[in-house]
Amino acid sequence: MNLLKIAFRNVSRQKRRSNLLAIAIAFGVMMIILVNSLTHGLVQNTQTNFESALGGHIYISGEILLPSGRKANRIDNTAVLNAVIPQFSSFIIDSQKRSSISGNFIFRSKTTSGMVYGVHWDEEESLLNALSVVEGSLDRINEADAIVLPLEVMEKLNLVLNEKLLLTFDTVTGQANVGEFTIVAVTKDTSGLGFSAAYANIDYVNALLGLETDEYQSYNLILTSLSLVNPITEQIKQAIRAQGVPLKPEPEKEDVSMFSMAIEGMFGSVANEEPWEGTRFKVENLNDFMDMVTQVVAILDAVALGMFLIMLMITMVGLVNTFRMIMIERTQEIGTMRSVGMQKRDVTKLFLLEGLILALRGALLGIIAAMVIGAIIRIIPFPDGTPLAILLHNGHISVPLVPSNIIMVTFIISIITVLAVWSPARKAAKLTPADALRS
Amino acid sequence: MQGANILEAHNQTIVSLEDVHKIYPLGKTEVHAVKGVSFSITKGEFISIAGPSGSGKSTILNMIGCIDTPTSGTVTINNTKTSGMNDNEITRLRHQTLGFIFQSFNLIPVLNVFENIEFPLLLDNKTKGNKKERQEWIDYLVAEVGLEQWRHHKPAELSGGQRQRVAIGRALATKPLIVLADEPTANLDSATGEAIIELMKKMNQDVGTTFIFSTHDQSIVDIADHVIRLRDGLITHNDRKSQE
Repeated sequence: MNLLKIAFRNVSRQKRRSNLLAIAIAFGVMMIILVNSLTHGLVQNTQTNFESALGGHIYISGEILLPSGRKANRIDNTAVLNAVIPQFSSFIIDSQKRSSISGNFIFRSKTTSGMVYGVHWDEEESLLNALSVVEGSLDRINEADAIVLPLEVMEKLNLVLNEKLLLTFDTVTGQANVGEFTIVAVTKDTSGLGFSAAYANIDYVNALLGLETDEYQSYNLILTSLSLVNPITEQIKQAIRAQGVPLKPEPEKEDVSMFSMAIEGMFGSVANEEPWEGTRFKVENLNDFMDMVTQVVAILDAVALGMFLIMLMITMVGLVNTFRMIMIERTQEIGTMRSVGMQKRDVTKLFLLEGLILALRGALLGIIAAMVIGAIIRIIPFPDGTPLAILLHNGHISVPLVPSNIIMVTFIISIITVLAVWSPARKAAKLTPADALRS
Repeated sequence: MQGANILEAHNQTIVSLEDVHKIYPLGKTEVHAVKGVSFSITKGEFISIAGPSGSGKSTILNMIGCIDTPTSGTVTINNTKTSGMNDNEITRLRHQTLGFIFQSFNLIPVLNVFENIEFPLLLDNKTKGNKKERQEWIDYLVAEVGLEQWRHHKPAELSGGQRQRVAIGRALATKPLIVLADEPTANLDSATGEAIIELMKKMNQDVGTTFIFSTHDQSIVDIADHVIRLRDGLITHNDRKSQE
């Protein structure tokens, strides 16, 4: 039957009315796709920024209780991790072992606090890719005392490339120490985390901290999928417990802010706790730091959904009224079609098809508009050091269009439109040919 | 001759009305539009139902066309009583047995001449048939109604006479046994009206379909070979011209 052809042509009969309805639908579709894409990009970028700043998805650290009662960030029982981690090798695509120093950089009379990660440069490909070098180069990073310094530290201390600077800190046993580094490269903070780190050779950092050359303070894992982060974290905890080794007690969730968790994860807790023997492990993951972001995203998604629903309601009212008008305008035409043998169900189908064509036309328009506006948003550059940096990718907002989201929105719009048109369509079908022709 | 198989035997009753009444509610009162009408029509006739406005012509045509139901009495189309049929069956009967020509043409504005004529055929898979055969039949009808040059034009681009020619073509598309025309010339000038009636007469003779048309124009009534005259919902004359 040529119902589809008639429906297509009928939609084009009242161009202005059809276009206005399509634009209303398109606006709703565009808004929901854009907001959803923005929040999706926001989560993606935040995760990536955390991942590159913290060196993975899952972070395993350890601490031992010194005879003095102080805690030291140290894993003196690497055999536990050597037994546990291989159990999850099929889910791990990369791993890094790092040490870290937190202390004060000193140059001439100026000081500033900072953090230095000791890394195995030959195993840190993702870090090398993520570092945004603004001065110097990463060619000399394998020199023993080489340090890659954040731009903020350079500016605060008025440093220039190749100069030597000092770092005062406590070793793992709590003794004050000083280390000397040569600046080989300067990087800018692209993560927006606010605690831009410096990077140095792990052997040199270990030596300064009083650790053995092959020791490390944290074991960071990058998994094959972000969806595995929580379950694998729990399984690693169970596997560590199964080795008869204690885990650090977890604090109450509501008492923990994002930064306190980050700082505690890296420097060790200062709270008074029950004593323990040997190394106790702490297993954290990316999602511990993502809580705040996911809350913001949930709020944004809820606002977008609310807007979408309001727009849908307005559009629905418009559609119902429009199709009532169409039914009145075409009463005689319906009578003619029924007279020449069109069944009631085909009259209903014709109206529903017209509604569906309008909805799909609006949805297509909305998707194109979302793509265009998304592309424009993507090219807007944000200045270095912006507080929004954690949400950005290389200084730009990401607006990834998610196909499943587009399909879902189109589907919802189509269903809602068909529902809106249903009542006028049924009324049109119920008209007796004689009454319709007499109108 | 196309459609000749439709008319296999003359003198066979194809429409019969027995004591048909039609009462319309009009606010708190009722209008008795048809007051006990009985007549029959045989296959292949060219019949005029004549009478002044309000005499019940359109009501009777609507009841024969199954687009309205009698308040009482029996309407039989091709040996099928229409009372008691559900909407689907009535619609199928209309589609397979009847063709319609309306006073105001009632073409589908978004379809062109060819598509309007083809439209009834596409409503049912049984009549849809083979595409090539269907196109040949529609081409024949387009040629018969003299609109070959206008086949791709939409109704809005045609004159009144041309539109009514399209309606005649559409009415014959499903090769119906009966074509009902309600005042087919009322919206046309007299010359065009006569040409339309001549065309209907030609199609009646060529295709063999029974044509029943209502009119109040005496010059057109004379062309019919069976005239039923109405006044105030009652038959005043039922005259058949002698057949050759």
